Amino acid sequence: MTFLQPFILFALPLIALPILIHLINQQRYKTIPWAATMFLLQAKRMAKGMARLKYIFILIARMLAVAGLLFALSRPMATGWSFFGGGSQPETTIVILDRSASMEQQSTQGSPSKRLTSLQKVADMVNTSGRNTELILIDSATAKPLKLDSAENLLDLPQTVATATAADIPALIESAVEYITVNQLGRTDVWICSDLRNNDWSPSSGRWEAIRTQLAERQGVRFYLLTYPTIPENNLAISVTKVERVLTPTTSELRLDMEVTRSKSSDDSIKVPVNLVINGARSTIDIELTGARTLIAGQAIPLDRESTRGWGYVELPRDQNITDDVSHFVYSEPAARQTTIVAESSDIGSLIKLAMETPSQRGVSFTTEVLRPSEAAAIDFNASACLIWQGPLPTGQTAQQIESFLAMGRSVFFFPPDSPDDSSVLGLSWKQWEETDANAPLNIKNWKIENDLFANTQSNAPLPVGDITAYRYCPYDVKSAVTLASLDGNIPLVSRITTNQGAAYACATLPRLADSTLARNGIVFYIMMHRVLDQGAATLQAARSLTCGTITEDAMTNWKPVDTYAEAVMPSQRPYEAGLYQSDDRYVGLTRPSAEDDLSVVAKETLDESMSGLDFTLIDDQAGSNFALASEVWRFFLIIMVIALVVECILCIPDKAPVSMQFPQVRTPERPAV
Amino acid sequence: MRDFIDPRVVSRLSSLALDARMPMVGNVTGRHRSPTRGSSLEFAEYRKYVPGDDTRRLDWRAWGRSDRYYIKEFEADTNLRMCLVVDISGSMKYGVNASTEAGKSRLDYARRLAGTLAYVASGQGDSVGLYCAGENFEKEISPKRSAAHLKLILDELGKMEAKGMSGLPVALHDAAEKIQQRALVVIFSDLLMDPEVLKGCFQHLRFRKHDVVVFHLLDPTEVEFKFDRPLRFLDLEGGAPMLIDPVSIARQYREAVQKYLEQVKTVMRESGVDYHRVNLEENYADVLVRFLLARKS
Repeated sequence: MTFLQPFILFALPLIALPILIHLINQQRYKTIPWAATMFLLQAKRMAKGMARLKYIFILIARMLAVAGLLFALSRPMATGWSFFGGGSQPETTIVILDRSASMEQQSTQGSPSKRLTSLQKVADMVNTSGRNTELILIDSATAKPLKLDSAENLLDLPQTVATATAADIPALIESAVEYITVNQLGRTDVWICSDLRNNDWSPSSGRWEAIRTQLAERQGVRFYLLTYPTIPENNLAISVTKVERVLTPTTSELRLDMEVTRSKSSDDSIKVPVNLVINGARSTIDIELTGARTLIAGQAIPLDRESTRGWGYVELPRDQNITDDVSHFVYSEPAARQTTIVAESSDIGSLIKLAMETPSQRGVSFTTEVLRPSEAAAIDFNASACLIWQGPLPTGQTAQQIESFLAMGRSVFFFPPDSPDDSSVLGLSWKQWEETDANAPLNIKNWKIENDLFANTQSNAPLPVGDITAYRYCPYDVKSAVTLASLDGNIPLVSRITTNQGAAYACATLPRLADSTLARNGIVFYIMMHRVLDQGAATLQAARSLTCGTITEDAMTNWKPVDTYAEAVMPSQRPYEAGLYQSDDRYVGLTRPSAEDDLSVVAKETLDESMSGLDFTLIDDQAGSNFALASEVWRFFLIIMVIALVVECILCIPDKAPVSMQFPQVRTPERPAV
Repeated sequence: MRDFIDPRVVSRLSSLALDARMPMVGNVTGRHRSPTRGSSLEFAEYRKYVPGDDTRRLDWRAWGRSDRYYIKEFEADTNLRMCLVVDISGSMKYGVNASTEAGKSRLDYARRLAGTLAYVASGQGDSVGLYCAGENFEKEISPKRSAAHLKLILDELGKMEAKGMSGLPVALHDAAEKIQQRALVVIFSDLLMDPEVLKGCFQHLRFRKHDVVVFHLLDPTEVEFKFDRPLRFLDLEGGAPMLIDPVSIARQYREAVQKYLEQVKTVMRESGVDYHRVNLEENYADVLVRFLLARKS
């Protein structure tokens, strides 16, 4: 609770005024001679307990009345959730903003979205409560702490506008915790504005334990979860799951797999018009929806035979969330998947070669070239989509070539050498191998299921990553990386090294049978390696589809928007908004993550479990609601004052005289017997 | 005439006589019945003649009618002995504005009542005595029926001062023993003590065949207890002063007073005492008129 006129609180010692007056009154007594002392003594004995209690209650009521008046005059600001437990004013207020696509949902069409409602409320709360605190914003798209000058900035900044990205709430909380730790902040309020979607919160992620551990020893951090878990009634979402250009003997056609999701499942069948825009040409088809999800597979759209690449999007009529009413795509002829494997051990080279040459797509050639580290100069960086490196880390020219290779958007995967040395590349360096207990090898404990190498499949089925066991591992140091999988004891196994472009990974073990079960449980190894390859190959195609939020603004410098959606987005926000771009002679489509169409919300019990041990308050809200996080509550204190005065009046009413207050006369006595 | 005897009151009371409620034993002829037969005009009874009786008192007419000798007896009229017992303990000093205004204390009131009664009794030929009951008998003046004696009593009434603890119970027991013949014992006191203690005193007096009258002098402030701010109560009988907020104990105080008054009333009724509760704000002449009239009925 805060006060708009806090200086009035200096008058709080006046609460003691009734006691003071009581004491003064006690001293201002008048002395009177008294004969009927025996009645006084009796009355004192009789009135010992209750009278004293009554007097104490009267004093308390008077003190409450004074306190109520003072508090009312000081214009307190509070809300239902923090009325009594709001506590002291925080030194710093961190706002974690979920800018995921699902946060654009509205209660009714045209009303403020969940994101806008939460921002408005937090801004109002900070403004009206007169908080004199440092305001920090961490938005889910950039995940970087941003210091704000005033709460109004929350509504104006580009970092708070709508995006088509997914949010990684644990990562954002980790970022907040890091900020608190690095800056040695004292009392801090962390406001998390989110719609509690499962895909954003990843409640099963092992990172929650790390968060709890970090905050266990830190006092004064309080979380406020301003949540919007309500699912709108009639919202539809569309996404293109597969685009394929098929050649027929006479012409070519585009085959689209689309998925339309309905927010509330219903057996009623409805017809929905879908706009198809291919290379600017618009057409409309009607699709019939039944149940919660409808798949339209192989929707054929004829193309010019010469049209080998292009772009397009599908649109639904606008509803309660306009962000999921469109899905962009690009198409082109698939490029050959060339992988260069540099391995100091031939058996490892063979294993990787086997995995990389096994095709994962029809009509695409998967080729590999296996080299020794000493032959690194022979690597064809231009033709390769992906480089797998197992051996001492490259130095000198080779290292520079690898950095350039990444800058072209390709991917590199590092396995540890048999004999690690001090060399380093991209901030990565290997330590010495460590053996695990033969009877208790280490398993993968935590892995990131939201995206990247170990992400769940399109049907949201998890990969059997937990079955992977490491018998020995080679720890690594890396300057900046995101851990994708870690072994027991939080030992990083696979990490994505932070790079401006391209994708670089490091793995702490080898696929050999003596080192791990990576090759034995080949599914995870195969999918992991092909996802690395896919990322590198994407830059080789004439059309490339990326998920919003996975590319930096720098990488988009030469991109030109080709559709109206992309044109409407300010340049700094283009990495986070869905749209279509042209880069040189290639098309790039930025699309909404498919996980954003998953409507499941974190259950309260699960949330309690994830945030157990943390000081947090859950505030459920709805998009466009008028509920204020902070409002003046002087009326409450005025009512307290009035009640206290009434109670005081009642207690002060003199007791009814048990006998007449008049002098009791006695009848003339009877004459006694003589 | 003393300043505590108002001639107008005396004049008002002149038409009313002080009657005893039971036969009195006097030493001269008076206006009160005697337990013995005498020579008054009021016929009492016949009894058989026995040798030795005064033949002048034989009823010859009864002899003529019945041929038997009867002695005709008449009531004896005598004077009464009125003993005034005035409580002069410290509590008798009490009265509203008693400390600043003369003539307002309980003792002053008692002085007026006792003096006027003494004047009235003396005027009708009764003997009057005075006993001042402080911690002990401070002063004892046996009943006599002379003008000089009345003067002495009035002088003593005028001089007496209220002080010290109450010794009324002891004084009453003493009085019961010391007053030899049956008498009218008139007590002026606030009776601020345990009614059970008083019960013994009155029963003792009644056992000695005394006609007991009690004027219970109470100030309305003591009964009603209408104070609204903390007060320091100074005990007039020497007890420790008490700082009390009257508002907080008013109800309990009134309950205690009510219980006490009920007990006193019961004690008086059971002891056959002529009990008069007197409000100090009432005109004492009215009190005396009511008292004298009540004794006539």
